[in-house]
Amino acid sequence: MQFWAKFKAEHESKIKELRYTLFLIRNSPLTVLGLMIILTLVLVAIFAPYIAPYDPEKTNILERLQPPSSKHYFGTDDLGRDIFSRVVWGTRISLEIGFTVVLLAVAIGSVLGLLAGYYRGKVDEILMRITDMFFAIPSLILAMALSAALQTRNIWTVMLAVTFVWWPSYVRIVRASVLSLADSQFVEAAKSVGASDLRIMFRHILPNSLAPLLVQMTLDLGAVILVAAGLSFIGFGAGPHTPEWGRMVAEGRNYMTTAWWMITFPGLAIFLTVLGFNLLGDGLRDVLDPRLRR
Amino acid sequence: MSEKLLEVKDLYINFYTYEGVVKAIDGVSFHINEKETFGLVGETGCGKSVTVRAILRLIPTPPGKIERGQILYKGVDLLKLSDEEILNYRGNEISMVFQEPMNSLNPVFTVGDQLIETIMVNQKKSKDEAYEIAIDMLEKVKLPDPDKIMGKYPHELSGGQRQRVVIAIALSCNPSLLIADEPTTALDVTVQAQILDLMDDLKQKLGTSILIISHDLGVIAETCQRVGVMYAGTIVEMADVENVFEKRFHPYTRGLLNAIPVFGEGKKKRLEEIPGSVPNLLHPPSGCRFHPRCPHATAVCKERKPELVEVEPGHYVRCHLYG
Repeated sequence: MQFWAKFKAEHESKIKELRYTLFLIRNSPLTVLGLMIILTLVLVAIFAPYIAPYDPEKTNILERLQPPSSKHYFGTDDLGRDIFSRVVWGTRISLEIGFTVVLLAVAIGSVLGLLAGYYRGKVDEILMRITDMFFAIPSLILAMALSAALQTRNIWTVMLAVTFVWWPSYVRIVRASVLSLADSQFVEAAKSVGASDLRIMFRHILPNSLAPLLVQMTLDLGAVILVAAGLSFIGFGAGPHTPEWGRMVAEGRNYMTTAWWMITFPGLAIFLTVLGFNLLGDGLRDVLDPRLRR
Repeated sequence: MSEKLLEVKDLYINFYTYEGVVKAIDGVSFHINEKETFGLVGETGCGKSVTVRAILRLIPTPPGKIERGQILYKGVDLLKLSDEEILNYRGNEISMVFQEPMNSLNPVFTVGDQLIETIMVNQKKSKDEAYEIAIDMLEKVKLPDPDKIMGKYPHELSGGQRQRVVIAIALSCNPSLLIADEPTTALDVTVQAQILDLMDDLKQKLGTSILIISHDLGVIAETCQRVGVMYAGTIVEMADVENVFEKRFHPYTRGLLNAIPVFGEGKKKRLEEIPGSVPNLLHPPSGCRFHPRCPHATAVCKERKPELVEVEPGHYVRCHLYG
């Protein structure tokens, strides 16, 4: 107890900030809704093996194309696989893809953006022109080309392909905020007491650009999952038995008129995920906006 | 005479801009003795800030360029050090306090985080040791409840409190020289006096030399032992504070001091002003840079730049009247 009291006293202001952030989130019903959707999805992803009643990859020809029932909540597909189990396992795959891609893209984008914005001049010129080149190529096509060139088809190639086209937007965001922060007095003050360039970039400037980054990351999680599903839909994604939502929609396409449940449930899952991230992202934008905070 | 801690010799700095070369610093020389407060006074844009930033090598290059000169600190030419070597001087040897206490602290970290980081980086201390030093520093700058202040964000503090924190950070690594760039300009008058007192007090206690920049002659008179008057990139007069205020050899110094309102005497007298305005340093005047505004200007002032001459022991003036 004593330890807790000491901790509380020392971090009073940090706790206050956190409380205030939570208060702002609570006051925005849509943000709460988004947060709840995302939390549910994360829990589903973590506990997928316990939630799913069947093996998502196990076929059962005898029970193929069954409509939703108490035995198979979301029905079964053309090979008799349980769609509920597949959607549950698909959550794990989609979130994995989303988080991996966004984190990798942020890591690459932040480093390049920091370098470009901090050193300016030639470094900036070169890095930004490379970034521009990536912007000039339609990202989905580039991802398709890359995933085709990689030959193997699994979720790792999808992640790699999407990351490859996703980092440039982060370079822009980070560079923009670095440009405005690099001239601020606290940076000069940090320099005057002996902080090195690297320390200034990562310890002083980057944390100050965290708010816009976090918002963009949340919004992008939804977008990445959508693009990854799209790639799988057209056949560039996961292998045949993988319970990937985009792939499931693609497989259900042929049975749309006879077995509506085959595309409806994975489609809904995609819809719900993207909606959740977008609501959360928009909410965070307001919550983290320094102008609205005080 | 005590030891020279810092000596700036014949410093020239240009800024290469789109409009042309701005000759911002044109042959500045001065020195600071150990345990002394030296002031640089002058109008906005006369090169005070550029000069002191050059000491810590904080001038953005490009567009700025130090053309020639020496900055000797304890005998080492700071301008010849590599970028890594200068890092050891910043904070540990020479430290700086800026004008705007509102913007000198990083808004996303607590005061404690920033103090501890500075101490850990510069003095290679462990976190616990750094915490102790940080608390000690906050006590030295007379902030009440240092434990509480450590956990606060800059926006929770007042301007005066922030400037105290900035001073604490600047002095946390025991520098021999503290540069203060208009440290009180952004503060209320009452807080101003407190901060100046604090700096003077710390100077006595820690034996730090102070280089203070101000456009406020009152601040200079109150805090400094010696002062340099700057005009358009050069030092025009330099001496003990009393001598500068009393003797006012240079016409510019005279102009500056006459432009201060004096309470109680000759109420109807109009304030004297210096005619004209600060020259554009893209095309500085020939010869003495003050000659277009100088009531005593002669033909020679237009042609030749006067030398800094010692008219009395320790009293230097850059003017043809005394050449």
